[in-house]
Formats: sequence, C-alpha cells, structure tokens
Amino acid sequence: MDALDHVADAAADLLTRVESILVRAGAPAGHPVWPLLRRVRALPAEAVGAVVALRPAALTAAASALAPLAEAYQLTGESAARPVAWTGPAADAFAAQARALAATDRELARSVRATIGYAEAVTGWAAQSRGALAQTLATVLTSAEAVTVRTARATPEAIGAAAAIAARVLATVAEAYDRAEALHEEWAGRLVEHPEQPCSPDGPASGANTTVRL
Amino acid sequence: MDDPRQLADRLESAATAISVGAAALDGVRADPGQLGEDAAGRPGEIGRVLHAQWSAALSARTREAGRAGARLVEAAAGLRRATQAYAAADGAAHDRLRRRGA
Repeated sequence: MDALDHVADAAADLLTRVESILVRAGAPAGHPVWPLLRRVRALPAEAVGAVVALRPAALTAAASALAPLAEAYQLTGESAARPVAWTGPAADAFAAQARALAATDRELARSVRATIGYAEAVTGWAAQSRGALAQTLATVLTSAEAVTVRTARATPEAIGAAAAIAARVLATVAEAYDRAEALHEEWAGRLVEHPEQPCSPDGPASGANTTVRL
Repeated sequence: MDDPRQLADRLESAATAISVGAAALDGVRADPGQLGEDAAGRPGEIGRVLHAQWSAALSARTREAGRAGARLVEAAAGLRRATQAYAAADGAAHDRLRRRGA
C-alpha cells in the first residue's frame, strides 16, 4: 500500500458527500468545476478510483524480463558481423546475409529497449499520478471546505465547498491524464513492429574458387 | 577468426537465446485492469489506450523474436550445407589426386 491507498480510504466518505451535494444541487454557474467535469467525464470519486486502480507491477516486471532479449539481439548482431575464415563467391553471399542479419538484430535490440523505456515511462507516470493525487487528497481532507461539506447541509456554502473540492481533485486527475495522453503519442512511433525481412531459403550458394578453413 | 562451422554454432546459440528471451515475455503478458481500463470517463478511455499500446508492443516483440530466431536457424543451416558441400568436394578432389598418383 502506498500513500494514495491510505489517503483514498480516508477521503472516500468526503468524496461521497461531495458527489451527493453536486448531484442533488449542482455547482454554482461558471464554477471551474464545470469544465473539469467535461474534461474528465467522471465524478470525483470515480476519477480517484481510476488512479487508485493504476497497478503497473506487470510493466515493471516486463522491463526486467525484456532486458535479456535486448542483450541476445545485441550479441547476435555482433556475432553475425564478425569476420569468418572463408573466401569466394559463396562467402561473399553469406557475408551480405550476415550483414543484413546483424543490422536487423541491432534494430530489434533498439525496439526491445524502446519497449523497456515505454514500460518504465508508464510505471513512472502511474507513480507520479498516484503521488500527486495523494497530495491533493491530503490537502483537501484538512481544508475548510471539507469541514463545511461534513457539517453543513445543502446550503450555498456547502455547495460552493463541494464544488471547490471536486475541482481540486478533478484538476489533479485531468493533469495526470493529459500526461498519459502525451506519453501515448510520444511512444506511438517507437513501438511499431519491425517489418519482416526476406531471407535466402537456401543459404549461401556454392561457388567456384572458394577457400574455406575446415 | 572463426571458421564457418563455428559461426553456424554461434548463430544457433543466438537463436536459442532469442527464443528463451521471447519465452520470458509470456510471463509478463499485458494483464487487463492494471492501467484502470475499467474506470469511467476519460481515465478509463486513456487506460484502455495505454493497455492496447502495451499489449501491441509485447505482441510485436514476440513476433519479431520468432522471425529473428527462424532467420538465424536458416542461416546456420545454410552455412552447414555449404560447409558440407565444400568438404565433400575437397574429399573427392583428394581421392582423384591420390588415384592419379597411384
């Protein structure tokens, strides 16, 4: 459990009251909560639930699991590019094939490293979002508006306080998902599948005047 | 400098290493729910987008690994066939020379 798990539990009742007031009485006209509600398209408790649900442990595990594959590609690229004690037309044909293999595997190593980078970026985004929301909820829980929402019924003061709390929470969630959207766009071109490469079905052909160290 | 048989061995070992690396990805499939895909509104929508992006990236890496391993195995097999053909040609030439000398 992290700070958000603790503070979200503590804030659950307050957020339920906030939603109840806003659903029954609405928010003051022109209040900043309106554009935030349209932007997030969720009520505060739902929006908090979405961030609480972020558990990217599998992405962290994936970053570790992908590392050996990147290393295998890197080593393959280096192996295929090494010189071989073999000369002649068939050796030349194979050298071209080996160069292509080495280039492809270097590209594949880059794709795997990009995928590791993406997993780390999403994990970092989730951690940052959880931390920011925990801080907002902690601030809101000890605010004067929280006291008003807890003690007053649907008075104009309580409606204003509920709208203010909702706006703070939704602003934090909206910022988090703006970053997520930017992250998605930033990585879109770096995770694409490497196209299939044609491969000689017969391997190097035999040729005249060939020398091979056997 | 390696000879062709040693290179074929190295390519086969590399294919195995790539297969092992790809198999490790099966354990980290993109489990649904970890990015809040079921949430309401924009958070759920973006959670689904991120999950789809992650899932597609893992699938792409798995397919690439399958093709890369197959390419290396093919290259190693071609190299071995060529090496065996040269050895057979050398042996035949050696036999002919020996018969002429006899």
